[in-house]
Amino acid sequence: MTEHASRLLDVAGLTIGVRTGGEQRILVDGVDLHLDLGETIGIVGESGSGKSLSVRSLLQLLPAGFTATGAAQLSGVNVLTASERDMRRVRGRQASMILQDPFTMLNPLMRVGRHLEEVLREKPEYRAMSKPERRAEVQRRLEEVGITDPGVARRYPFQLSGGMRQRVGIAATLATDPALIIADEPTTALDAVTQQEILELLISIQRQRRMSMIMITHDLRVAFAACDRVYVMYAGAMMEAGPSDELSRSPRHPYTLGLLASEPPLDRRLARLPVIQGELPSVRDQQVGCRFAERCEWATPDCTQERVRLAPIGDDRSSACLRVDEIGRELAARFETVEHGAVEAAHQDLSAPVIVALEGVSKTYGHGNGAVAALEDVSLTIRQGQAVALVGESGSGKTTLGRCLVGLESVSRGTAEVFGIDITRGAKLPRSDVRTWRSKVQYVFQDPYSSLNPRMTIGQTLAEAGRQAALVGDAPVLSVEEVLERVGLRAQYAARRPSALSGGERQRVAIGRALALNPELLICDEPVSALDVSVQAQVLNLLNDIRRETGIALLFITHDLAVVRQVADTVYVLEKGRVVETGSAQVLDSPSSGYTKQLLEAVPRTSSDWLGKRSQMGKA
Amino acid sequence: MTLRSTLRYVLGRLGGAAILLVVYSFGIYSLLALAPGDPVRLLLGNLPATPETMDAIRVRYNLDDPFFVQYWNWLTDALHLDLGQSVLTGQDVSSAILERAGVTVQLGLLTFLITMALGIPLGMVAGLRRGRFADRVVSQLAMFSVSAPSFAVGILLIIVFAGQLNWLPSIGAGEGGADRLRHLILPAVALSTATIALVVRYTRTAVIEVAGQDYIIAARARGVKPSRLLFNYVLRNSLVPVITAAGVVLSFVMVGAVVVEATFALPGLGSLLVSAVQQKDLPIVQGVTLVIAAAVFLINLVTDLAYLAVDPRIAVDGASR
Amino acid sequence: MSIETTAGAETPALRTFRAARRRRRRLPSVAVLLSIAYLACIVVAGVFGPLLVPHANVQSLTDSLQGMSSQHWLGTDDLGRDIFERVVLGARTALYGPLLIALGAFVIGCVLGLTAGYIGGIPGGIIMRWVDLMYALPGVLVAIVAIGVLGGGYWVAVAVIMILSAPYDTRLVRAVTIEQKGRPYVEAARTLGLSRSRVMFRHLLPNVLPLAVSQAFLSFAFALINLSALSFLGLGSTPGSPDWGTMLAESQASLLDNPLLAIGPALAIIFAAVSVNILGDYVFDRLSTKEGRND
Ligand SMILES: Nc1ncnc2c1ncn2[C@@H]1O[C@H](COP(=O)(O)OP(=O)(O)O)[C@@H](O)[C@H]1O
Ligand code: SF4
Ligand SMILES: [Mg+2]
Repeated sequence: MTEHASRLLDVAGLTIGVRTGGEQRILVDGVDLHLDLGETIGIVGESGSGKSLSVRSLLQLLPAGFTATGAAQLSGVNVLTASERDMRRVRGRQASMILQDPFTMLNPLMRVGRHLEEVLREKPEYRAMSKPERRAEVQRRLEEVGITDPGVARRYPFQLSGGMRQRVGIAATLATDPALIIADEPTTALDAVTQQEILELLISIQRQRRMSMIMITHDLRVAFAACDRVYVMYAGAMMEAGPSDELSRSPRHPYTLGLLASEPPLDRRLARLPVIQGELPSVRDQQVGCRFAERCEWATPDCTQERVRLAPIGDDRSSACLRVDEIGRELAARFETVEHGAVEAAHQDLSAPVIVALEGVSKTYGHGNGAVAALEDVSLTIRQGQAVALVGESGSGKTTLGRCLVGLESVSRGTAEVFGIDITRGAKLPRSDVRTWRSKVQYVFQDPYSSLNPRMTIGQTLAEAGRQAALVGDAPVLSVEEVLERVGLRAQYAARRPSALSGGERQRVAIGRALALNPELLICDEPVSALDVSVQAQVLNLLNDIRRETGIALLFITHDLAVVRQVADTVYVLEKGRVVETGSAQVLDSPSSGYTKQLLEAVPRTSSDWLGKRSQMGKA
Repeated sequence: MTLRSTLRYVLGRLGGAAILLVVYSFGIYSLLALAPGDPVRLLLGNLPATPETMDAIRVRYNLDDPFFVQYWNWLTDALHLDLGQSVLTGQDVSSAILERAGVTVQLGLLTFLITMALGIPLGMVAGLRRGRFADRVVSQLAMFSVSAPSFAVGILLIIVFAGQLNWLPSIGAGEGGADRLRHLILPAVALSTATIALVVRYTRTAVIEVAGQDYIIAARARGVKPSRLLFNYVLRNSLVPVITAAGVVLSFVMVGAVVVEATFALPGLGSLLVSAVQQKDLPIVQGVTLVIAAAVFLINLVTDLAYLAVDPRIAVDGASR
Repeated sequence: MSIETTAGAETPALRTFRAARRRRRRLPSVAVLLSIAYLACIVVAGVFGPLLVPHANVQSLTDSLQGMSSQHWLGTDDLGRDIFERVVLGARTALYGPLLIALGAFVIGCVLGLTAGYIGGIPGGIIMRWVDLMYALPGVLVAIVAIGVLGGGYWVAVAVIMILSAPYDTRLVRAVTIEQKGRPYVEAARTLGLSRSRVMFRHLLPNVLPLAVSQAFLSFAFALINLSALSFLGLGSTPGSPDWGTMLAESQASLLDNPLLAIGPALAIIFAAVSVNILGDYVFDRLSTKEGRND
């Protein structure tokens, strides 16, 4: 495994900095990495940890103003210092890259086929071909990525779905037959089912062509399932590296442990999700020593004294934790308890009064030819204090349903009662009813970055909500400090503006704003999907705590079944606007609808058989 | 899919332009009624105001009919290119317009060519070399010239190039060919200072926007040749917003010509309009305004249609917009 | 020529990082300082002009058409009046009209734009048809014709140009409003049950302001250019009055013999328009980065 004859890429001490306003900032600090021919490695880390910058530097594709130092040998070329001319021979032929967002990765003004042709033309054997042969060659390469419809080559990217575009992107990337393919979060923007398909495709192609691959992802499970070895990055530095199966069974760095632990399990409901305290440091706070120290429970003053680099700890594994030897056993023990954490059964009171009753609700956007049915014949009940999850892929109508319940959209057909108010009457409702409706049902939005008014301080935002609560009357109005405390923020936050808060903090404020009205139903639309895993768990715990304390009912909208398991008593599965399955949280154990089964199957699992089956088929 | 929606899109745009033109022509016609004084006297011009001549005017312009009927008659006449006669010279308005249109069109085209030939490359360079020396120079110049009024620039140009240096003629349109071109250079330069800056800004923004896109990074990563990258990726994609700029420039030029022609005493539509306005020669004012407005509408229409040719997304999305 | 790629992945950290970078870079440049200084002069001259140069309009045929001297910085015109002093007086029409136009268009634009963007419906439809109509019109042309035919001087011109500028503000404010109103912070305000006007003026307006304010600077520059163009064509200020456009028009007859008559007013107009634009750009940069952005 370590013969250097088979070494394709060797990176040592890769450091990336950017010069701004006269000062140098280090964004990636001393990354070591290696990759053998035919091997697949994963680089895992939360957003901003420097994964993308690291791999882009290998192709000299850093944005203007960025510099990369250190050593990086790719097939014998030092790609950090090579001239632009030499790099032209590296890009495409030696290594090529697939990017995250399929919607922006293709030239919008160029037909699909041209994307392949323009690079194929660099090959002598392609230039020697006749026209029909060339066309057949393009077609063959599209078939390799699973596109059998010959019409696709003549389409424009905007005429294809996200999954199709990503396939085209892969085909274009492969057209140069590179030795190494770098996939930077290739499936993050895709639905779970499509994600699984694309990952399977990538792996089967990698095996067939005996290529090497670097897979970047923020999802440890994906990395473990898809890669031979995995590197874990945090805040610009490598934390730990090792073979997938070992790393997933015995993390040797507190951060890896934390990441593994805060990933909510799919198969059981934990009384409390383990969390990594705090949040990602911002680029501005630079420090010597272990970058994880301020969030690490094993940190000692020594940890911030010396320089930390990935160091071998035997068995092809390495860790950057200075105390790995001392705390190794403790880490293992903690991992055990996490794996067998206290389980809680879903419980609900089915005799509680019904607060939301939908019967045969439909919602159509637009009219005439352009009409789209977002919801069709949906019936749903929420009882007092119940936690209901609404699950489905993007576009299945989850958000529409939630928005109808707070009056951000109107119901097209059917009956809908919320706290006894007939919300289908919309604008015709008497003022008092609208007030009651607003105060009893509140909403938390997905994107914490735009859900707070950037021009108001946190205090102003919360105070405004408080005044609104006072208008409605009955319950005591919470002060700004009380709200902040309830969502786990210090009182000083009142004076800050949203731009000074991290994603997790903003989401807490958004939850607080909703709670300030003392609602009886809180609708949470993907409240954690824009957050990093380590912060996700904190917010989920917060929501569960609030429920326990206030007995508020929850409508939880999500695409993530593992999250559903952690919060929901009752589950509704939506497919293309229709409810295809409903029941208590046990439907996750024994689903009856094929669609639910498909969704469950698509949830990333650590074991490699998650991607196994279909990639075998790809070999045919 | 595309043909039908394209057709629908084109027809929709045509219809929109037609409606606008009708509304606008109504406004132009109403000027006659809104103008202070008796329309009959306005239309008399320097004819003697005898009962006979006044009756003749009434009949000629249907002034006894209800207002909408008058308008309708005027509009149908206008559609037959009969825009009435100048009240001062008695010349047919349409022939006066034809006589003067040549200079204006030539001035417009010259300005447009200068603008595009300089604006697009400079914008590209500034965008591609963002933040570097070339960009700073170009951007500062653009910032300066975008707001420089053409008549003030024109007067300075006359002082420098016609007066001090004596290189080019200061006023008039010259006679045909090379002489005409010599006479049009300074006006075209005066008119294009602002438009060049406009095009530079549009192009620069577009290039910067496009150069930062993922598809450029992806194409570089898979080894697409630099020349292809520049032409088929960056330039082609930045061209789309530049079309808007081209349309804006053309309409700006049509209107800006009015002031510049007055500055350089060019016998074009603009100076015809200005003198007609000063002398209250309403039929000429109405005629010229209608022609310039129609030209502007046409330009807007052509710009919209140009998108169809460049951007495949419009053919589909545009129809459902 | 190599192509530089700019954007990387848009991580939250990156956003704050960029914002910080933008902020630091925006210290006023020399150009901005010069613009401010020049505009300050115009304001002073516009407000106190007659006090500063009480003899500007005194004719003295013995002094006609003199060259530059320490007594007459820019020489004198054919009636022997000091040209520089008249340029100083001209600041008044260059200031008041455009200011009124910019403010008027700004207010109309904000009210109509917010209404059309946030409330929409029938009022929004009417507003937008009006805007479309005005947009398709060649504005200067309309001003020339309207003022030429209807008569009236400077202040009618100001009114007409204000009406012609307002659609630009309206359209801009509406576009930003529509873009902002889909954002969760506005929807959250609605779910809280806040009144329409509170959502519009407390939540949307502050976020629309940076663009609207920079548009107001643009309106000012365009108003300045168009008003002086009208005066230049003899349609704005009354002939003979100290207005930069009028002065330019009156210089035309003997331009090649007496270029001094034109240079002062021409440069005064150009610098004024340019300064306003530079300042507008700067103000926009400041407003849009100051704390107030999520991204
Ligand atoms: N274009 C850029 N300008 C400034 N900072 C950047 C840029 N791209 C990335 N960074 C910074 O570099 C760090 C690493 O970013 P990145 O490699 O994109 O992380 P990842 O891919 O792991 O999410 C982040 O802190 C980010 O703020
Ligand atoms: S080095 Fe210290 S702070 Fe860093 S992970 Fe190890 S124990 Fe924690
Ligand atoms: Mg990334």
